[in-house]
Amino acid sequence: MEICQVRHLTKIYGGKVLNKALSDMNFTIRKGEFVGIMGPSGSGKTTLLNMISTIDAPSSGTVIINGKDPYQLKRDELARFRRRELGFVFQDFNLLDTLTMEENIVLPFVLDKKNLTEIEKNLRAVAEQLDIVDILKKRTYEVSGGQLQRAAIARAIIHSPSLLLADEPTGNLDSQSARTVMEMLASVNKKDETTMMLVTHDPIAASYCHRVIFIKDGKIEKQIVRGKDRQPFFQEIIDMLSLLGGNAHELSSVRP
Amino acid sequence: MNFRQFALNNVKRNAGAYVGYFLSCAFVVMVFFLYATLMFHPQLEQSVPGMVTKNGMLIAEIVIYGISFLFLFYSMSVFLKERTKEIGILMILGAKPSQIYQLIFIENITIGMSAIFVGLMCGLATSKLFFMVSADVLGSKRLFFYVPVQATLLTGMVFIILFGALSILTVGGIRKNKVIHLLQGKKKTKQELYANPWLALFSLSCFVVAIGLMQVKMLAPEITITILLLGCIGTYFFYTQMSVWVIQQFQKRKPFFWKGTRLLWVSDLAHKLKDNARMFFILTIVATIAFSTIGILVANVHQSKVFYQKTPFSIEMASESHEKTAIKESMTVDYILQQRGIYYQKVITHSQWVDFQGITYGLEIIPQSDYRSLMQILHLKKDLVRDDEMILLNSPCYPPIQKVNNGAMFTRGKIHLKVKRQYEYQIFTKDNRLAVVSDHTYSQIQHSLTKEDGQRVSISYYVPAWKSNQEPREKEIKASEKIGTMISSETLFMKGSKSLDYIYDAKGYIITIYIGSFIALILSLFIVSFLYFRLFTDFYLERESYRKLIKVGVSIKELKHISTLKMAVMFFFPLIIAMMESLISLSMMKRHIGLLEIVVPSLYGIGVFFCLQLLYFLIFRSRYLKKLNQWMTITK
Repeated sequence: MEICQVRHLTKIYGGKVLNKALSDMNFTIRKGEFVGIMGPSGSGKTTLLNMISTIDAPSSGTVIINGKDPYQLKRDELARFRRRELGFVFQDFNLLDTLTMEENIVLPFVLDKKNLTEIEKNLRAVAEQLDIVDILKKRTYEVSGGQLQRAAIARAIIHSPSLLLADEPTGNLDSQSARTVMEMLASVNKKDETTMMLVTHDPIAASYCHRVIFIKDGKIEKQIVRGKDRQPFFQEIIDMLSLLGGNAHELSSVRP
Repeated sequence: MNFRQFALNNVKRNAGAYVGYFLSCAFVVMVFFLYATLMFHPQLEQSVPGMVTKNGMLIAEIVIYGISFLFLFYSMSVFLKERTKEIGILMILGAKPSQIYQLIFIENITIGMSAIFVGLMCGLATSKLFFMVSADVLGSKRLFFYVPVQATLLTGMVFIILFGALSILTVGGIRKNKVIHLLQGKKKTKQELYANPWLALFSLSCFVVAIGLMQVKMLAPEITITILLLGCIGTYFFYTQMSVWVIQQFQKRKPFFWKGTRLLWVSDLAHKLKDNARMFFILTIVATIAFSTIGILVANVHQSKVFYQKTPFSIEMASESHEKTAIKESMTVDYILQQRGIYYQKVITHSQWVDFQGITYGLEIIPQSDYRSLMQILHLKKDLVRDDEMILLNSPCYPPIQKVNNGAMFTRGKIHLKVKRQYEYQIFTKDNRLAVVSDHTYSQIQHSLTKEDGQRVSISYYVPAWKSNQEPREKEIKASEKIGTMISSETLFMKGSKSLDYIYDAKGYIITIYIGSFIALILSLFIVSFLYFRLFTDFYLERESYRKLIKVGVSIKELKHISTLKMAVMFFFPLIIAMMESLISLSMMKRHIGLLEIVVPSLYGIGVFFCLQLLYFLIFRSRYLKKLNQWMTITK
């Protein structure tokens, strides 16, 4: 079953000089798939993500998520669509300072006016899954970046969204936390069969995906699919990045 | 672009934030100017009420000036605090401290000067109207328009000094800060709120003790000051501790708290309360004082009206010496009334002031036979007293100072009198502690009189046609004035006239209310301009969290709901607390102030204040939401 379908997606930024950020992009994400999007800066990754996450409307083409076209929805319906069908994980966590961790996590549920027992059941489940039970009562400034990101993941998955979108989730983390976060994401994907789309610069993070789509200048350059092991897949990603003229030479030292 | 242009542009482009501040400055200048034109009006010096008004205006001017200084200084320093980062950037770019001061000085002076200019212009334009209304309210003849040179000069000078002093003071405020602190600005993460439950309890007990103290019989100055202090302390901790504590209790109740947008706005509210606790405290104290004053004034006007309506006799003459001559002289009164074709009934009563043992205040006793004649004309209840009894006639217009039980015994020498019954009758304007005794007892007491106990003959005129007037009519006032000026001799004098009393009282209060209402308006404008500024600076911080919320899937409708609720709390919470504080204290204190009804009359005054605030709230809300909407469509 296809969760996300992207058809002839084009985005042109206006102004005096027109800038084609995406041109005629097509791909599909099937249910339970974990897809990575990579590409050099300015390739259109964030534009693509914004379009799929319903934050920015495409100039032409369609995005269908779980059978619905979010751009046909009214503003309030769109908000409801976001909090029911989509889950977001951001580079800068986007947790609210005024709330505790658990309050942040249950936010999408509470906004939907779910009853308390259901909220608490789900909260317990995700907190255990992401190993953040101990910090639930804490505030955003009392915990580490990795814990913040795991709480953000918990918030993104508590309502079992059709599609989880992650925008550089490891961008603000140290390598150890980044690894934990990626392992968590992978296990959520595996256990709950949550469909995920990950936009990243980080080849290590991308190596957790099933499939990585490389884009350059607004077009899909290549797709590579992971085999059994992560190690050769990581190697392939690095090679691909250097082929694309990214910053592969900086990454060569990472090669084991 | 030179430095001066840079400073001017700064003001111009920040117009959104400055507009509230600017308008309230201009309004203050305008009101100050209008009062000054009235104060210096050549016509006022020619009459006595004119001089009273003049003095009232002077006091009002001083009050306005004081309030303006405090509020403008406070808003100025908050203004600057919001701009610390901007100043930090300028410093890091190499702006000399003197340049920063210059920048702030130019900004302040620009705003101040244009406020003075606009205020004076608006004042000049409306002065004719103001004169018309004032002449009407003050009951004087038409006030002519004149060129107010003195008033213009005074207003200009006084406010140039004010804005100059403000600029220097605010510049002094930033001098102490280091660049690093300036650059970090107010970008602190929201710390977890901490409310001390004991301090919350302390705040509550302050209120309880204050209310308890109000129950005492006599209000000594020390007690009054203690009550005021307790009220202030209680209010302060109410905002800093108790309100936060209460919200935290709500936050602990998940079935309540984890429901819809509550999760968001309740927790935001706790922070808002804590952040703005000091502002709320000041607003509450100022508003409580304003409300109580309005309440007392309006209640007084109401009371004099009730007094007028309840008092049956229109004109009361009295004599303390020769009864025969007095009655003869009162024929003049009869003549004046007859001449005007006014039907009246005349009652002659005797009374004497005596002290009794067993009662703290003196009583005016009247004999049974005189009561009977009062009874016939005023349709009082028929009642008889024996020689050892008395009937008390309490006035319903005065709060009973001390309740007496039926059957209480009063003694005077050998005479023992038992209170048989008590009635609530308003009979004469001034004397409201009447007691009916038998004719025998009356003459018995008369013999024992000392010099200190006065006795008097009252000749009272009851005019049925004026009985049901809500307010005195022209004819009644004219006749009473005529009698008042015609008759004043050794033997006969005018003891009271309800219409003249009313006019005299009401006029005084109305002038005070008239002057006071402008001050109240200024206060409410200040409060609002301050809130306005707060809301618009907060908007820049808050849209960050709104952006996060939108990504999580909060709809615009819900965002609007959240921000409306938060705004409503900012606008009305301090006012509601102030209203409660003033109403509770007024209703407790009314006995001490000598007022019968205070809550309902003061609600009128407070109601007007609330309507104004509601109007501001609706305007602001629509502007704020429009801004929010604009910003949402840009980012979407």
